[in-house]
This record gives sequence, C-alpha cells and structure tokens, in this order.
Amino acid sequence: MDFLSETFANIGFGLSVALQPANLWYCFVGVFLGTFVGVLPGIGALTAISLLFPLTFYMDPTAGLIMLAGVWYGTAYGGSIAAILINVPGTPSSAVTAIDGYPLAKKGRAGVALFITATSSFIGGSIGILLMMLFSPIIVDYALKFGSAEYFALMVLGLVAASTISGSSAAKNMAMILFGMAVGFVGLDIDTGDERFTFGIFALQDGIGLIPVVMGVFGLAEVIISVSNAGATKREDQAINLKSMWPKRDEFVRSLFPTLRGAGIGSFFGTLPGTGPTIASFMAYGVEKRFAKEPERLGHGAIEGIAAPEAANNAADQTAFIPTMTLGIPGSATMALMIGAMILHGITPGPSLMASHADVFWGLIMSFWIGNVLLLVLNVPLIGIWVRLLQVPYNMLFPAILVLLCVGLYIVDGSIVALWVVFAFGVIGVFMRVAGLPAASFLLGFVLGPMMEENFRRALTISGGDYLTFVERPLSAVILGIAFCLILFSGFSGLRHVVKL
Amino acid sequence: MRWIAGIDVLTGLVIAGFGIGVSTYAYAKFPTSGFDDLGPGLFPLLVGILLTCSGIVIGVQGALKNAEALHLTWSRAFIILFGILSFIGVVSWFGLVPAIGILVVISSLASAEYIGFVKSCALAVFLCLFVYLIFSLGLGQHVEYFTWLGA
Repeated sequence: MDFLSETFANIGFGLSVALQPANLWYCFVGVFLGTFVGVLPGIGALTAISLLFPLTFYMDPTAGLIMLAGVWYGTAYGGSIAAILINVPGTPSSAVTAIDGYPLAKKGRAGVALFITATSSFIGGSIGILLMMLFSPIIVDYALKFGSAEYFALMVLGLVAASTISGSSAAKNMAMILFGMAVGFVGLDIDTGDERFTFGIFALQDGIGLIPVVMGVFGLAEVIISVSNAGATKREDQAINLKSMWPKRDEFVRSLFPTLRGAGIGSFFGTLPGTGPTIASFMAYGVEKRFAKEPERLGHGAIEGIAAPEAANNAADQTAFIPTMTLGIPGSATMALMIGAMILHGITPGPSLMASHADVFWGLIMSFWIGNVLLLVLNVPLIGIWVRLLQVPYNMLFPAILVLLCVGLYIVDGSIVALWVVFAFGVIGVFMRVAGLPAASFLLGFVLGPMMEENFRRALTISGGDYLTFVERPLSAVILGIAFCLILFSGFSGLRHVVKL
Repeated sequence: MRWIAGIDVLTGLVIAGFGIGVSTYAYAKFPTSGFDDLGPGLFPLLVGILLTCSGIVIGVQGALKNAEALHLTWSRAFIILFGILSFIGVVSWFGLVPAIGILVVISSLASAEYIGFVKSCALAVFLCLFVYLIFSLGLGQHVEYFTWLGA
C-alpha cells in the first residue's frame, strides 16, 4: 500500500511539473518537430536533437529534456507515416512497418493503417511509461548500493551488448566505441589536471564538445550522405480523412493482441543496452509471424504486422529511459545525448537523480504521457498535414538544415572553434558511413568513455591497484561474466560465419 | 574467398594505426610502470591497445570477405563541405547574414535537382528572417548580423 501511495504521489508531482505552461509548450514543440523529422526521410531523431540542442541552453533543464525526449519518441510516430505512404521508413525503427503498411496503402487502406499505427503506438508507449514508473524506484534502491567497480562493469556490459547485438560487425562496433572514448580523452585529466591529447592547442584544453561532435557526425554527415546518395521515391497518393481511417471491427480485433504482445516485447528490449526500438520492432514482427494463424498473410498488408512493431518501438522508446535515468548509463546514442543534456545543465544522471532532482525525473516521465496524447491528436485528426509534408522538396530543405546547424552553434558558442569541430567530425562521419562503421557506437563511446575511466580508476584506487577487485566483488563479477559470454558468443558466431564462406 | 584489399582492409589499417598512435602518445607522455600506475596515461594506453586489436580484426575480416563501400557522388559532398568552410570564413569577418547567404547559395549547387540561383537567394533571405525571429526576437540573443572585417 505504501508503494502504491508513493507512486500516486509521484504521479501527481510529475503531472504538476509537466503541466506547467512552459513545459507543456516545449513538450508540444518536441513531439511536433519529432513527427516532422520522422516524416521526412533523410533526417533522423539524432540530427533533429542535435539541431535543437543549443536551444536547450536557454531553457530550464526539465523543459529542455522534455523537448528533446519529445523529438525522440515523436519520430517513431512520424517515421511510420512515411513507411506506410511511400515505403520509405522515416526512421530505422519503422522499417518493419513498411512491410505490411505499404501493401495496405496500395490496397487503399492507408487511413486504417495510419490509425492503427497511432493507437498501437499510443498503447505501446503507455505500457512502457507504466513500467518505467513502477520499476525505476526499485532499480534506484539497488543502484544506490553500487560501487565504482559495479558501475564500470555495467558500462562494459552496456558497451559489449551494444557492439555484439546491434546488427553490424562486432569488431566495427567495438572499434567505434573505442574511437569515441579516445576522442573523449582530449582535454584536462579529471584527477591530475594533466593535459592529454591537446597537442599544445589551447582550445582543446576544455575537451571536444558533445554538441559540435554530434552535429558533425549526425547532422552534417547525414545531410552530405543523403544529398550525395539520392534516390527517387514514389508516393501512393490517396485522400486520407478521418472517415477513411476508421478500422473495421475485424481489423480492430485482430490488432488488439499483437499490440499488447508488441508492447511487452518492446518494453523488454528497450531496457537492454544496444537493442532499442529498431530491434524491438523486428522482434515483435518475428513473434507475430510465428504465432499467426495464417502467417502467409503477413507481408501482404496484414494489420497485425503494423500493430505489433509499432507498439514495440514506442514501448522501447520509453523503457530506454529506465537505465538512462536510474543508472546514468545510456543504452543508445540518443540516450547518450539525453545524458549529455543533463550534464550540461549540471545534473548528474544516476541513482541519486530521483532524489535530488525529483522534478526533472517525474516531470519528464509524466511529460511522456502528455506527449503521447499530443501525438495521438497530431496523428489522427491532423494526418493530412503530414501527408502534405512529404511533398516538401529536399533540395530546399537541406540548405536550411545546414544553416540551422551552423547558426545555432555559432550564436550559442560565440566562437569559430566549434564550427571547425563540426566540419572535422562531418568529414569523419562521412567516412564512417562509407566504410560501414556505426556512428551511433562512436557517440556511445564518446559519452560513456569519461564515466568509465572515472569509475575504473576510482575502483582501482580503492583496491590499491588490484585488478582483481573487478572479479572479487560478486555483483561486478557476474556482470563482467555476462559481458564475457557475449563476447565469446559473438566471436564464435562470427567465426562460424567466416568459416562457412 | 577473394583476396582483394577492400574498404574494410583500409578501414582496419586506419583504425589500427590510430590505436597505435593513441597508445604510443599515452605511453610517451605518461610513462606507466606496467599497469599498476593509475595515472592519466593508463586508460588511454588500454584503449589504444584495444583499438589496435579491433582494427586488425576488421582488416582481417575484410581481407576474407570483401565488403561493399557506400558509393557517393563525391562532387556533391565536396560542394557542401566547401559551403560550410565558406560560412566559417565569412561569418567572423562579415557577419551572419552574408555567411548564411554564401552557405545557402553554394550548398544548393550540391542538389541533384538544382533550384536555381534566384530561388536559392530567396531561400537565404527566408532563412535569415527565420534566424532573426528565433534567436533575436525569440531568445533575445545578441547576434552580429553584419560586420566589416570583424570590427
């Protein structure tokens, strides 16, 4: 009973923060822009968040986080609009939606597909939020007992999981994480104040800033790649209004359980480092295919094939915040940016956050709910606006993105140095894409690197330089053991792959 | 199995080389006595060594299996980068408005379907207004729209 009343008190407090006019407004701005960039293929959530990042300097930290988070889950809604109507997923996590969504659109059922997308997303998101509210306090209770060795072990596990699970080559992922860490070394040493990797350049003493790096690797490089690698897309033109969106009774019933299953799968994969919404949506689709009574229908415009992945990716979008907010360990590049935003505002993410910045914590969670309601409103009655948006020509849009990229940073930072960093990391980002190196892993390493080093050195200092401390402490030993098994497993499957060829 | 030096071999070499650079720098600048010195050089040394290893793995895997490199129209990429360089060059000498203008006019040239000089100028004017609305009116920032030689 105590737990329940506490939860309700937290909900009330969170709502009082999230419903403040300024926070409400930024929540709206966030989800609106999120849907906007989600609809437009070629700009992802990371690009949009990096563009908006400088603006959050002027905001109260809660408002800033609410807006950035809104962009993040808003893109999942917007991404599926493009996936259904033009068969081009606006975001990777909506790629699965295109498999059944586009055939439905060709059958003239685009409206229904969009409606189910919005409602499944909403239900999935809500379940994710609910789990976050229930589990975060429990995790925080445990996490308060963690020492530096455990934190280091958790980060190792997070990074190993991110590099072995997330699809592309484990070696490439690992290399990018380490490269990110190496870039993070630049600047003054946290303990001794020694200059590291500054090569005598004064401007490098403060280290390389998160924002210019993100803007380079995700903003500038993304624009360059999409302009230099352009392919034409075809639209399925059809009138979409509220009436055409209403599903038949049978379609509604068929989408109900897939939605719930998808939400469950998504919630689980969202919390794991390295998996996130994209893998969650693929998993949910796979499960539907296995459990379907007529599996041959999937892939040819089955409503279940939309409901499950959409519920999954939105649930995962929300539960991804659980490790980020309770442990301070981001599971993906976007979550790493959220952590970056908190640090810039002087908030240390981690188990103490819930106690020291309860307004940020509960305000953000409740804003997710408001944001999801706003998204439902934006996506059902206002769908026509987004459909028209797909016609905005990219050749007008990308110069505008470039201007926002340069101007935002120049005005906020007031110096040319940051622009050079954007330029340099833009070039590096383009080469990463060309060589098939995952840029998201780079960012994860860049943000986690300094935290890892801090905990690594602290744990060793406490143990008097004894490396065995990481395996003598039971919890840290178990976590490192799991990480080790993951490496072995991916090594074996990689080897098998090579031998087969 | 084809033994052609593909993009992955090159990538592996670059990463391994970078890793060697990082660990050498860390070791040269902060001579660690083995791994029991907990100073500023230890972690970079470890990361550099692991980076070298992963570079070698990527290179070897690439030698065994040739990966496709993403093909780009490089001229377009260079035009955009040149646009950014122009912005950096112009903004501190002449202010934000000329810098936005030159960035938009140059980078528009990169598009597969060029919008034309007049339209790109119009877009630049629109974006200047947009920036004024957001940063000056909205956020109350002091912005140098025009200046002469950085004065």
